[in-house]
Amino acid sequence: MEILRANDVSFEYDAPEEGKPAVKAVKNVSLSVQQGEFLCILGHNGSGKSTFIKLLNGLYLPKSGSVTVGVWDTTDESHTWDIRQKVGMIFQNPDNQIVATVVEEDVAFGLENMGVEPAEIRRRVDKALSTVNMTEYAKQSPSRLSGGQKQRVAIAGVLAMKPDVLLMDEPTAMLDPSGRKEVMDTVEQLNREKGLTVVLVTHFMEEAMRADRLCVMEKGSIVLEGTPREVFAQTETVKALGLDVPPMLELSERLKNDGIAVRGDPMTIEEMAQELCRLKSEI
Amino acid sequence: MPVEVRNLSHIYDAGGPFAFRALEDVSFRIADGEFVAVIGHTGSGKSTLVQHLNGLSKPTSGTVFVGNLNLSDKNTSLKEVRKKVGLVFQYPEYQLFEETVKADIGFGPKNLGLDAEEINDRVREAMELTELDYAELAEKSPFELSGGQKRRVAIAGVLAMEPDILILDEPAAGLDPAGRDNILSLIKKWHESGKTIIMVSHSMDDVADLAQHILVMNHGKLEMEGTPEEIFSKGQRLQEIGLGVPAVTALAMRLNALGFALPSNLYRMEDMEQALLHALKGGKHV
Amino acid sequence: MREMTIGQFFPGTSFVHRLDPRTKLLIMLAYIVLVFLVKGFVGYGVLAVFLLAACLSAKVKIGYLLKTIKPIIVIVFITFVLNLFFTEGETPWLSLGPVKIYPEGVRFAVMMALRLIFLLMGTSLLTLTTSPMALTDALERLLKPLNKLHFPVHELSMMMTIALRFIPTLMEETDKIMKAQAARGADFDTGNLIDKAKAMLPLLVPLFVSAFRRADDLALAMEARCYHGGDRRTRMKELHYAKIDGIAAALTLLATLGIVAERIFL
Repeated sequence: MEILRANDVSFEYDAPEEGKPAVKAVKNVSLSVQQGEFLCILGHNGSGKSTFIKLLNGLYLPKSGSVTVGVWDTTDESHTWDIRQKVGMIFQNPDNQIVATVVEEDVAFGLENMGVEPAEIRRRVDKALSTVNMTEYAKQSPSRLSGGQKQRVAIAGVLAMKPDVLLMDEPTAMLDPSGRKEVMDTVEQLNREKGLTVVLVTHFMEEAMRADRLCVMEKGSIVLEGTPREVFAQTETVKALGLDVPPMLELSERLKNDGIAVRGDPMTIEEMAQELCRLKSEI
Repeated sequence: MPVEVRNLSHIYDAGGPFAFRALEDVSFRIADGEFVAVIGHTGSGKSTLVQHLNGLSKPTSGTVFVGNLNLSDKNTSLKEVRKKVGLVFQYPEYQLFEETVKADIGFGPKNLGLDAEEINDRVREAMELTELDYAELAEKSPFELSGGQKRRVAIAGVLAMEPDILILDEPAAGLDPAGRDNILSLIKKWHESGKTIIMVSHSMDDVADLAQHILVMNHGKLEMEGTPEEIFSKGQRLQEIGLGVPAVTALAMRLNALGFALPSNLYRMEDMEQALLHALKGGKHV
Repeated sequence: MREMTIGQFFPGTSFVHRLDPRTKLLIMLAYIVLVFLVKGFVGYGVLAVFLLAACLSAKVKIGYLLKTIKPIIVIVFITFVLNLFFTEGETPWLSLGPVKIYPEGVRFAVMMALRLIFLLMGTSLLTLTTSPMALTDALERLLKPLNKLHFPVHELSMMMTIALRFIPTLMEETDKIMKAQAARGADFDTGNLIDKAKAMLPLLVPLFVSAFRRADDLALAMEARCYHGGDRRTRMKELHYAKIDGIAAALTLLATLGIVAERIFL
């Protein structure tokens, strides 16, 4: 079932100075997001991916074309807050999206804005914190948490609002590898176990590999689309777009050029190991 | 200019209620012109460690020598130290402040008390080293530039001090793959031109291709030290302390567990390719 | 930074910790009025007993509370000296040329110094036992009636909350930028006041740039979480007055009576 739809959407930023042309960030993008899907939008800095994702919950409104969340159009002001509740968003800088000085108060922020009853807020906050494994930090100050923990608090804040879709705008760009893994494991679990629809914007190939479907953006348009394996198997194209290719695919490409018949485009270390074992057994 | 660290310990807030031992009995030596990588988790002490190398932090005990400058001695001129050791912090673009790129890069040389002409020469040179076009960018505001350019301006500001030793704390953090490759290739160039490079990183893949000498920090201690071959042959231990290994090393470990007999110190794609060719084809042809 | 005790909060479950923050804020208000009402040492005696009782029931060490005076000790001293020299009375105790010290001056100087010390110890006790969040909350709710006069009560408290939230972040950032500039040869420690002020400039620009960027980000993040001002907003934690608030109020009333009595009868 379709849950989000972008119809031939374009967006431009105001010209930086008078007399200069407006900056076209998104150009005629059409995209449909299905319920329960894990979609990744990959692209280098300035490819328009972060602008595009902000169109999906009405933070930005399209210049032309339309974005619909279920039956609501994002330009329909009477449903702005319904859309924001259904489509939650996590931002890049973990520090700049935490409002309160106590973890649990921050998780409650969205619910308080929605006007939910205090007892219900309490229930949902506790549940959301336990879902992201942050219960023991409920009473702490967010400033003492690690980057990964801060992002998990932000995720809890969105989860408590019971959204259908989680939008993530480069949520791991400022984290160290362990924080990155922490956040991605949490997100993947929410998608696989709770059926939460996830749209992730990133430039990390490792994260894109986890998605069900991958769109690559370049200069405001979607230029490649498919499963991660389908997309990354086009190693030369992907590299030309300024992106990384999973090292195992690169290795398999090299081996193929050396005349070894690697099959099935192995992407992960385990897949590669199994394929090499198969090749070895054939000697 | 060699760096010599002996029995270095650092305790934050020593004696206070929040006393924290950030470094414990760390000793190592860095030879002139080496490319060194310092690897560890957030909080492993790696940033505290490199701040000792240009006198921003003072040892609680132990000594730090840069050439013949004793940084543990209070009388050592910090100005001299900072001329020799340049430190580029994480996300250095966040400290840009001048009205023009030129003035920002010239801030360090100006603090060294150089005359206008010399400052200008150094700015030009630093911009050349960071592949920033002087004619196009020198008079622009640093705040108008792209993220990657801003970072290069910030690094140029340190290069303009003409340090013999350049320390970079996570120089590629937050950049996309193209930006990362660009910065790393520049750093490689500076190393080839004779500078000693000390790069703090938590990306094993970035480090594997560049470093000659790796220091692994864990809980404030120097956990391992050696060449990449030596370090990555201890893949098991690296994974235990949660640092991970380059993808190629991880594959080699997995394959050896599955009955391959690959060398234990593989970390480069080319070497892996050759080793696999040998294992898969070699048998047939030889 | 390590010596900073003003404004720090120590979580706990003592009698004082459990009081409704509104009660504590109102008592604080009464306390401040009382400090200014006190006429003589008897009044300070009453206040001292009151403060001591509060301190004991908050399980805060008295030594710790005394330490909070440290940052303002210079101000206390200056106040003391100024009042000592510039208060005139009838017969001087001591005269050194143009400088005359009167017994009235000594008394007044001591009173003024005590006033400052009592004010600071009282407010410190409040911030030690009440989280900044609870304080802003209490303020918002106490000022709620002002909404009718179109006074932006909610906005004010939201601003306070955000300020509190970002103070540690910006402090950390200042420290980082300072170190980075120091690594480029900037000198923050030597030179006269003007030199030092000049050295601060490279700090302020990036700090402001960063604060504005954070503000932009935060505004977007708040909007994404349905923030649209104080209308129809609920709160997770509601405040309730309980029996202990009544007890605290009664004790405050007792102290007030004591000080009023002092003013009338002594």
